[in-house]
Amino acid sequence: MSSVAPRQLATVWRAIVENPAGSFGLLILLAIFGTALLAPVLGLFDPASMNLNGKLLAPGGEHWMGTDHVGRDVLSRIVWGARPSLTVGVGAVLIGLPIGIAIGLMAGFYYGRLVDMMLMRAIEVLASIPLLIWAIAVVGVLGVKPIALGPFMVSNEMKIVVLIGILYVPSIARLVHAVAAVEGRSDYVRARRVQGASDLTIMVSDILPNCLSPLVVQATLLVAAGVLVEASLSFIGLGVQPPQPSLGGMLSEARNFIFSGEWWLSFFPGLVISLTVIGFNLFGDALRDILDPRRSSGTGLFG
Amino acid sequence: MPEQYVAWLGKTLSGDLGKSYMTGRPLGEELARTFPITLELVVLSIAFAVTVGVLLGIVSAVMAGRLPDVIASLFSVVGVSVPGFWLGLILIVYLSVALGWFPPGGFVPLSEGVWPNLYAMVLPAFTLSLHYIASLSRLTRSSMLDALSQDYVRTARAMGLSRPLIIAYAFKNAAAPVVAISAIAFGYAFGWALIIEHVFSIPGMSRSLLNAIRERDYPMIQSVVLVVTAVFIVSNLLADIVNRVINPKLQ
Repeated sequence: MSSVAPRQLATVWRAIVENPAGSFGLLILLAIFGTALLAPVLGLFDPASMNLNGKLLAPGGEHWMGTDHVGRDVLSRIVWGARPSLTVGVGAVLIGLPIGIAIGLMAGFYYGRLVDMMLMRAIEVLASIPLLIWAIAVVGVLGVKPIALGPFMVSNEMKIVVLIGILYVPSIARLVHAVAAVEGRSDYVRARRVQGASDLTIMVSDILPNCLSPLVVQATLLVAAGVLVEASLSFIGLGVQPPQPSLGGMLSEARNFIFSGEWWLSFFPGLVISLTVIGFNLFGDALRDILDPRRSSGTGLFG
Repeated sequence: MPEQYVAWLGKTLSGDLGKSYMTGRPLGEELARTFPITLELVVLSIAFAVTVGVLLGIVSAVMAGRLPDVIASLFSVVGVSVPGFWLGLILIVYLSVALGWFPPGGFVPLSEGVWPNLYAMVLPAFTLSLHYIASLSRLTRSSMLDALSQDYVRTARAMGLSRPLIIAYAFKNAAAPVVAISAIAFGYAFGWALIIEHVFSIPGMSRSLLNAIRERDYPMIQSVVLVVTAVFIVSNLLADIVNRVINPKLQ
């Protein structure tokens, strides 16, 4: 198996590069991840340093995207503000994936048995929770301040990552469940059992690889959704707390300037959120066309 | 604890949500005021989204691969990606403040006339609907492409049926997933409506919720979440039922 993987990766890579929408999405993502990661070494203005003599400057000169109401550089706040968006988007998927995969594999493998019923009923309960409103409510009840969990201080950003990650579990578990239920009853799995392979071995080394293609696609699209949810939470003041920069938080501050003509305050942060999400969606769609053509009728409907 | 839960459940099911910590007034009263506003916003948005999304999807499918289809595809990628609250801000800056075409926000009750009420809802409803126009047009397109490639369509074409008639027949068969997803979209839109209401300062349930969070009014938070979750579950259930009625094979 492992000797084939690099060649498969190369094929997928070539297919993405040859797909104009996919390569455009990949380019956007590389640019955004690149600048966010390199933020400290790009020689930007300090995102927190205020300059009351240079407030509300229009884009141009040394401030490419202008300055805000206390004279902070908008471009550097956007670059630093993209970090929590990406952290939440990627982090939530990293939490949702292992839990969703474990539940989906187990339930799908023992399809129709008690474990399957119990796990999938639990998943149904979780799936009946509309993500955004629960994220708002849970953060609203816990408060936006860091909470102490034993020796760890859990920041608000981490709370949101865990919360969204858990709410991602149903869609991941259902995907794996559907594949595992079919594969679990196939001839080759029966053959593996005759060879003496244990259930766990079959699940992990035979069934899981069959789930990877749809999982990769789903994970990419879920990252996009997470970025949107984080921005929305920060927008209504429940996400990243000022003065730490975040794209949603910048839009929230920009609301105070929609009547006075400082268009750059609302335009640029939203443009970056949109581009990030467009990047993930284009890349995810291209991956789906390549890896998982049967499901290519996806709706992109989320939230 | 269990007794408390049963007592709460019994009261809630009989319509008594309890009293607000802050105002001491029954929560039902506040929700009875704010729920219809949010409901109006969502109903207008989804109705608009279904109409435009389905038409766009059909045109895309019929003209697959040609310029209108390419434009519609680009639009749908952008549409599902642009955050609604940003779109709302941009629309306010350009259409309301700069051009003065629409009020920049607020809500006009129905008692002051149907037209002023709808006029104030145009921007927020459009803002909320964009995401669903985009996703429904994509879904309609792929579902229609499936239907149009079936044998009966070829037969109909061979028999010389008119193009609009063939498209109508194909759509009848393509409609099931569209109807189901529209119902689910209704449930999701209720959550996002709260963000859009905040952008346009509409005194709907978002105000109840955000005020409650600010004032640590837990019963109020609980009630808003309860209402939105109930709408979400009911719309999912409706989607299921509609699916089974349209497509008896699923049983």
